[in-house]
Amino acid sequence: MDILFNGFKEALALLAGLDPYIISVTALSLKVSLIAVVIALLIGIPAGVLLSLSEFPGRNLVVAVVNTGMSLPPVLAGLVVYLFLCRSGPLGSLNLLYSPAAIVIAQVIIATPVVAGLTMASLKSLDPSLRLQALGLGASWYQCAMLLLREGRFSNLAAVMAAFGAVISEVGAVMIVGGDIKGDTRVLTTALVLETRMGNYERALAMGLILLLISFAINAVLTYLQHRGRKI
Amino acid sequence: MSAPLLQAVDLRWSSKGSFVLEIPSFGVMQGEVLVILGASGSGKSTLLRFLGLLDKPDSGRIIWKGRHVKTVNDCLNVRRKMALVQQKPCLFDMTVDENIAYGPAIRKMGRDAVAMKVREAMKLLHIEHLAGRGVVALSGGEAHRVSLARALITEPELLLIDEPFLSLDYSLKVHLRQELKRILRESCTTALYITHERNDALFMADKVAVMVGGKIVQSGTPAEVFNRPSSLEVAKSVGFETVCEGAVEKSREGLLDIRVGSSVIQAVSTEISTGDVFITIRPEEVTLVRGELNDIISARNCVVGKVTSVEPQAAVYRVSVDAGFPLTAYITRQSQAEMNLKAGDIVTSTFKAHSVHVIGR
Amino acid sequence: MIRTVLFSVMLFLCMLTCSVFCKDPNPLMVATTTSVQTTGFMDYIAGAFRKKTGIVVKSVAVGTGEALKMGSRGDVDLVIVHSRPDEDKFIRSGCGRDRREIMYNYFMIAGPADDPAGIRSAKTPLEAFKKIADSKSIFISRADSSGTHHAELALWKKLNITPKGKWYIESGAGADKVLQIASEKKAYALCDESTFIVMAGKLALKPYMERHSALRNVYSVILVNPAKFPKVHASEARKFWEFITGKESQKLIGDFKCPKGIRLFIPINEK
Repeated sequence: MDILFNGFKEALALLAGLDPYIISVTALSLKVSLIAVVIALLIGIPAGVLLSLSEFPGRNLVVAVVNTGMSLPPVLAGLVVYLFLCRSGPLGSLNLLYSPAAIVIAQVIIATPVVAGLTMASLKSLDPSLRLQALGLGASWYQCAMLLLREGRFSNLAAVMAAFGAVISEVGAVMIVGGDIKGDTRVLTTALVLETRMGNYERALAMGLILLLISFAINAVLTYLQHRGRKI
Repeated sequence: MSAPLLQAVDLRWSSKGSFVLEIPSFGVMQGEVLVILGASGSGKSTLLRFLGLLDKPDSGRIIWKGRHVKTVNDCLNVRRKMALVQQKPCLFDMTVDENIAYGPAIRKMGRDAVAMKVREAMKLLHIEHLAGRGVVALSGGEAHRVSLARALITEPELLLIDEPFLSLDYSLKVHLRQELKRILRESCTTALYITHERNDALFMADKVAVMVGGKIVQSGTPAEVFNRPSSLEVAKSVGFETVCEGAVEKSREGLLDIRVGSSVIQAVSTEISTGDVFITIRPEEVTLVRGELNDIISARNCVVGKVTSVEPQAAVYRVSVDAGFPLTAYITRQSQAEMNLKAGDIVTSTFKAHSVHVIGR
Repeated sequence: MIRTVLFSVMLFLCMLTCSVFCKDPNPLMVATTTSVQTTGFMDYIAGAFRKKTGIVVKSVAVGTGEALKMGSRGDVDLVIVHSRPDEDKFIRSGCGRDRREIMYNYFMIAGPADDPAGIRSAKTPLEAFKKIADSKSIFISRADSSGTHHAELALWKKLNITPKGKWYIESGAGADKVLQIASEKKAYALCDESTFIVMAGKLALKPYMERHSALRNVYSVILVNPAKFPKVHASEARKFWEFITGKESQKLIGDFKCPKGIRLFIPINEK
């Protein structure tokens, strides 16, 4: 009990003192997570839209893949990315292993199925007559998709939150492809693990607190957007 | 002789079950209000979706103003000349203004022009007081008005209306229907109106097409369709409640003696003079008199029978009579008050020979 | 208004993405052991090298066994490990060349303060291990093919004991984690002294068998053979090899102290 309490106190002190190590680790965490989420959204949302609104051969197979991808163990994604990016792997010449880029790649692979799957579910749960109504007023396929995304914005923003949550809290995959190299690929989660292993519980708690604060802040913003403009 | 505004040729579609839609030819003329009348499951909403280019049939062509609509671009251009009003108002999760502005907005109209058009549309449907409101708390009537405004603001060349006002109460429905008819007439808008209610067809239509089992079985003016149905299904759809099998016994100059069950009734037909037939009689055309009376009125059929049931309805009583064949009659409340019919009473049913519509078997 | 906000956000993210994906084209990859990494030595020596040559050195800390495996796949440019027999095998296989010893320290046995196995009185590591096995006191093994693990196995082999049973826990963990587990379970473990020194304040363990001559732990640097693995960054690797085996590094090693002021590694040239 003492450890928790003292740890908490010291954590707050570390945060207030703006320890440069903690700042750099936090900055990297935010950087890779934000980039990964944005890329996942750019790929996942159109994929979700296509899967729910159009018919094409093999669609059911892709849906099954996406649904599997949603519950994919993230460490497996990390392992696969590692095998691709290591020197003896097919993409080894890109020299991306143990760099933030590798972390971003792994996180994109983890987050994209989540975004695609949840977008698809959200659109499918909309009243089908909405789509007909939009088309029946002269909307192009794209305009119709935009409207449906807007109609389902509650669930779609939940998808964004889920993707961000998955990405910022990932440890295993980040460790495998990033190598937890100080100053280069050490993020909040891997730093937390390291500090815990070394017995520096206050510093570990500080990392944990920051992770919590970041999640809270992002989710607060997204929740605000979710509820904005709902006039009665 | 002008060409149809919108035409469907060789339309064919089958669902995953056993339902098949087959329309060899169908067209809407410019300026007319065409009502497609059919029971639930007859395929009318599906047909509307194909005509509105909202869905693709298995085979067939849609022709707009003489030109076959082929490419996706063609589809979009033609779709933008139509507007859809559905059974449910289907309003989008935005304000009333934004809903109504949707059509012009996606046609990339300028903001000020859109605002002006929105005001005009709201004025047309008497919903100016709803400006700025969200759609969640609108009443049924208000929501339908918004849905109409949203469609009409695009000044469509063809308005597609799918059983609107279905969920509204009767007086509101009548009121809105009147308004809609007036608006259509004043703006000379062509409209395709889907309904299962005969009253809608009678009230709105310039032309009626009756749809049964995925096929258009008869189309013509309301008078033609309602008074001279060409088949049994149409007869049932347009309100002929007495439908029986019979055989022509005698025929002279258009007047037929037909044996129906244990009775012989007289009917008038210019097309049929012999053979097995169906006779159909509108319940409004049957008069009931208590007791047994024979041939008291000339040129009218008289059959004696026993009342099997008396059902109160909105404005009439629906009386089922076993007159050697099942016969249905409507009597006014006044009449029922006077006669006080109940099951088991003997009545004489009378109806003109002209009221009996004969369909070949 | 909202358009400008969105646009500037996208622009910012594009810049971030560029900064992430466009980076130093040819960093050096070194595979080393957890003891070298945890102590901060790699950061220290790589920092000095970078200051001198501008070449970035990235190190991954895995066990000796894993490090040599990475070397034999050509996934890294150099290895710094501490297990002589495995290193010799590595060189013989042609995957590595130019082995040079750079520094050493000692293994030691960490154990609970109340010393249930009574190893305080043991004179040699072999005697201590025998006492632990006989008393079946809990022992945490690295069990990860690291140099420490191989040293531990060598001791058991000399005693002709195959450690098995509830008391012998094969953790598969790194040096720091093993010490943590030992601390929690009040168990014994073989570890390198540098890791112990760095973690001492947080452990409920006491050091035994310190600086015994039989427990000398020598660290060597080996080049991954560029002839066998053309993808290796050969010239940068050689530069680092020359640096770390040079006189300057020997001084740096000697100057490397943990925050408590204790030296963690002894330069190989020092007697």
